[in-house]
Amino acid sequence: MSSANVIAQINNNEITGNTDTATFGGGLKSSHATGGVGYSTGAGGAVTQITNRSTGVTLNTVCGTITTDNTSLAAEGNADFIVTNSAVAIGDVIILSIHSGQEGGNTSAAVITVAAGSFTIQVSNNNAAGGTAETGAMLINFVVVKSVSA
Amino acid sequence: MGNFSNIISNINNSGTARDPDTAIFGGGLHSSNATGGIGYDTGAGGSVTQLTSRTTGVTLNAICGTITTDDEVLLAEENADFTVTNSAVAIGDVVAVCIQSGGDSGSTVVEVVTVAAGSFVISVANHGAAAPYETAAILINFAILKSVSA
Repeated sequence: MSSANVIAQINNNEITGNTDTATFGGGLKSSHATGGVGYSTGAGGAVTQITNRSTGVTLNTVCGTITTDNTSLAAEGNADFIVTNSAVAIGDVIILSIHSGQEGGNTSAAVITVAAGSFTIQVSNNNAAGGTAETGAMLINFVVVKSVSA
Repeated sequence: MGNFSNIISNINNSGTARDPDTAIFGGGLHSSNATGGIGYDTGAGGSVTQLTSRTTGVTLNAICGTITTDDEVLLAEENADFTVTNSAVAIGDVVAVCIQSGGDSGSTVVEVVTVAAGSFVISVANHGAAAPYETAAILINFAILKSVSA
């Protein structure tokens, strides 16, 4: 069976997926303009940070949304918090985007560590000293892209 | 038609080795599994270490991997950009990066600032307003997401 025939059958909805991980020996792409490559219902989760902006959260899914605490974050200030997540391996790439909720006007979110079972997000208020503080509960979307170094 | 894992097995075993062809789906390509993830597996990745300075280019012809940077001092509010020569990159691709470990300034982030056919540029930025400076060899995970503008 050639891969082209199999993909043709997949494209014609003749195959129902299961829960096993499928590993292709070749590349894997979509030519659909809007369908996308990523995750669908069942893969994600949501969690809300409590107490302060440095409090850790736990969410054991490959994608999802984190709602941060809204403790005031001064200009030029950072707040780091750990996301405990059993779906993460040390070589993975975590992609973030701020969904909504920031009020400081110049706040960013970045991943600054990745380990087996966790990653750390740094929320930074990039306003110059004396500028607007960040006081919003920010919604941060994330996806885990499985990756390796060998 | 068998289940999905059997189909993938058939693709991978069509011949004596895994089919190296790229499988292009006409529809979207999603996973609904909470922990399996979408991305790359062993055989896809690589690693490289930057020599001499934080602006020295590196070469790694893999779709994902880990780059270990030089540990030259990076002062507060400074950036160091370096080119990753990588034959797997096309101009429309999205290159996702995140710090795995090693940053010691408390305010260092990484981002991709240029993508071209065959290379991309990573900017390492110390966003701190003052000391401590960045003096560490930083491990940066990356994954290339194939993308197009047509």
